[in-house]
Amino acid sequence: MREPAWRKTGSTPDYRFSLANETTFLAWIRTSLALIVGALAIDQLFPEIAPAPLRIAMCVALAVIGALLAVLAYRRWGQMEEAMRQNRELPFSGVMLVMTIGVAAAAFILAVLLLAAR
Amino acid sequence: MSAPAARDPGLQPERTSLSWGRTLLALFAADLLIWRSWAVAASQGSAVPKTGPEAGPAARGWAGAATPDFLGVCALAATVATVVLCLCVAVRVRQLRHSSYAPPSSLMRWSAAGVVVLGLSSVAAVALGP
Repeated sequence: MREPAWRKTGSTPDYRFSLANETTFLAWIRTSLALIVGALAIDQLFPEIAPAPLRIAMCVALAVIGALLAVLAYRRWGQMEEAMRQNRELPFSGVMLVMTIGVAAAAFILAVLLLAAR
Repeated sequence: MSAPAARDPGLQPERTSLSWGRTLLALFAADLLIWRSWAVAASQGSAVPKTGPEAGPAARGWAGAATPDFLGVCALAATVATVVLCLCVAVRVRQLRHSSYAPPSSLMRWSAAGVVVLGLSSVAAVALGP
């Protein structure tokens, strides 16, 4: 497969920064996997946690966010690597804020559902 | 920049290798859940009628009017993603043993693509499955 164009620009960054970028990518991939597995686990193991439409909507949202996060992980890895090659400031990303709000909302809804199920 | 010293005092290449291994482990855990769900759904589908008066095995969904086996698709996607990530990890860990440079983009693209496929197939399994 072809290497993207930015690979030929700028200079090779300190290898420690590159490796840190790589481990960050992998951490996002694991987060993405956790969301996908969480969605499937709720849907398959605890089908009675909520009425079907709500459960399906929640699980689909979690799994879609998981898939999206894997795409963003790759995109962000490339952006970071490019910025480091150009010696530019690292790009800001809204992913953290969206993820924080999203995961907090999911946890809140789950807590309400678990309490209501009692 | 010149190649790093023979041994990085911060053990960064080793940490990166471990991080790849951890990711593979997380995917194995996902596989177990998905394969289990598929096996359970298949065994239930063959025992209990699900939709109609005599809607039988889940497997018949492929041919009949019932929904196709989306969990089976999900299990297949999980297997494919695992094979892809296994290859990526093997290549990367080998690279990290003697060099500390950034990985090729294709490696990152493949490993992300495997997870994306798994995610999309689980969306299908949740939204369209039984």
